[in-house]
Amino acid sequence: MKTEKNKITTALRDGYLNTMMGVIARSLCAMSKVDDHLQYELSVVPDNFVLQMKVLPNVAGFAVKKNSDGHLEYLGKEPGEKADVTISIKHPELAYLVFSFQENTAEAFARNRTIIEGDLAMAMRLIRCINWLEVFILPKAAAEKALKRYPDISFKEKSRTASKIYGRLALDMLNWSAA
Amino acid sequence: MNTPCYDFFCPVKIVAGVRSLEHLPHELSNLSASRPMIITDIGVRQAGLVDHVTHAFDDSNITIIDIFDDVPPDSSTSLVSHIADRYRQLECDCIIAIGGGSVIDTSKGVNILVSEGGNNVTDYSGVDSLKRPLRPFFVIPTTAGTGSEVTSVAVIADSNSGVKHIFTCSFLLPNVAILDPRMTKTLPPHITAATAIDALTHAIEAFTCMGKNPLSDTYATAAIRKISENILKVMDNPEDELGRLELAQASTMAGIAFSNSMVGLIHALGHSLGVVCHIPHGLCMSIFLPHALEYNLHNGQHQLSELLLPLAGAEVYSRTPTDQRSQAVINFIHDLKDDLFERCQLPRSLSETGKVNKEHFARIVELTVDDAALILNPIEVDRDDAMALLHKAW
Ligand SMILES: [Fe+2]
Repeated sequence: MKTEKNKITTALRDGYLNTMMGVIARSLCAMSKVDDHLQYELSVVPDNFVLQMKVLPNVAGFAVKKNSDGHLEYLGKEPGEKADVTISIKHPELAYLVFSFQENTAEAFARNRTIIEGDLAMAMRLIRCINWLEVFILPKAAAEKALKRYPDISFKEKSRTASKIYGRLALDMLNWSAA
Repeated sequence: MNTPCYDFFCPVKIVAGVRSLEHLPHELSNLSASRPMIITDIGVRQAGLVDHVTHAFDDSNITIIDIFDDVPPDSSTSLVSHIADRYRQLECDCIIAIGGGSVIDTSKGVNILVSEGGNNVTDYSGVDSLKRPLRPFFVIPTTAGTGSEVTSVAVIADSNSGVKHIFTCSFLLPNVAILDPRMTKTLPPHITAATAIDALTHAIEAFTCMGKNPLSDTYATAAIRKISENILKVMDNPEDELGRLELAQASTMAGIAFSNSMVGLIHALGHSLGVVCHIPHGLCMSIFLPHALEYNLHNGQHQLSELLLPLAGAEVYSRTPTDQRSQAVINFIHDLKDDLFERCQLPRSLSETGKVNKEHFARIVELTVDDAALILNPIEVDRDDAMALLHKAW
């Protein structure tokens, strides 16, 4: 049984997870339109390929799809169709460790906190895309914690790419609100 | 980085030692099985190894119902369906797999179909698709390397598309694995060497990659000691039954270690080289082992030095200064490769295989960075890193 206080903590945690995962998914889609490196990684991913990430039992998550322009498209919290790759985190507390940067993604895999289903090669590619995104949208200290190796890029390059992502994100948001 | 949080699971009964095949009839009765189908390949059968198993049933009231001896080196979904049909027609009630990785993976697939029904094994591919125990399943490895008798994974290629389907579920594990020295005695020298190096690689990657845990570490270090103490002895004296048994046990122990911790860069490179240039898995491991360890070491991997003790023994370990132990591990492996080359011409480099050329590298690199084994390698590996490694291994 959950106490009143626990309920509030849980609700905050789940809210945080949903926000973080939403931000990551939308930024990834924005980045896929402006960044060469991401476009290169995505070039061999088949069209209409759907990646889903979720926190069991359906607490939070996101799904993105590669469309025929070669970009990623945000599908929502759930894909609404069968995903080609699903990465599930076994419990919201475990997901919180990852999304609050106390544990990096590779550690979460090593500790059997996640289940990857579907095409593993494509899963590897999409994990690389998310890692690459994190370099640009996270503060350096958080990204260093989240990644095995922080790439050798200058502050200038980081700021330039980050502003491209945010600019694209702002445009996408306008489109969503207009739609 | 030590991982304090882990799962560890190995419910396989291991029956090991001289005359352990003779335990098989009793193990079948224990599981109320009496109509076994043997699944094997033609090489194993021609080497007379199946006879050892059938003789073990001579004085029992169990009759071997069928022997299917036509499993190719790369199994396929249609073969799995075909064997499952035979099993059903003949009303078998258990499988005895005798062979290496391909025979064991095929048998895992057959056991899914005969237990769960259906004709298409891919319906059960993926992670944890099976929800209940399968029919009784016995495995007798004839190579000392893959560790498939204790791994909950099977890889079976689609007969039409060639896509490799991966099955991961603890219910794929056999009930019993039998390690009898007679079964590996006739293994030719270069296969003995390559499969032992595969087992050594399983143990070393289990110990040095991110999924390591105290239980897998224990199996890994014990396996490394057995392999380094016996590999050259067996190469020099192939009839050495006890040495063979030590290698077989080491392979199983390394299998338990890596299936509970996963592998890393060496397997990622090896899988990719295997796919592109059709080089046997154990040989791929042997080529990349020291180079990938060196890459991890030079980029901040810490655990390697501890492996000098099981690998080279107490004397070498104690006289090697602490800061030189990791490099000593790598040197030891290079020396071992030279020793094996001298005894059976096991190629030490990509060029020595005669099957690889540098035009293959780009494709191998792409497959390597997409290989899931990289997730738990302690050090990040990008395309440039993988390419540099291939040149080093040339
Ligand atoms: Fe292996």
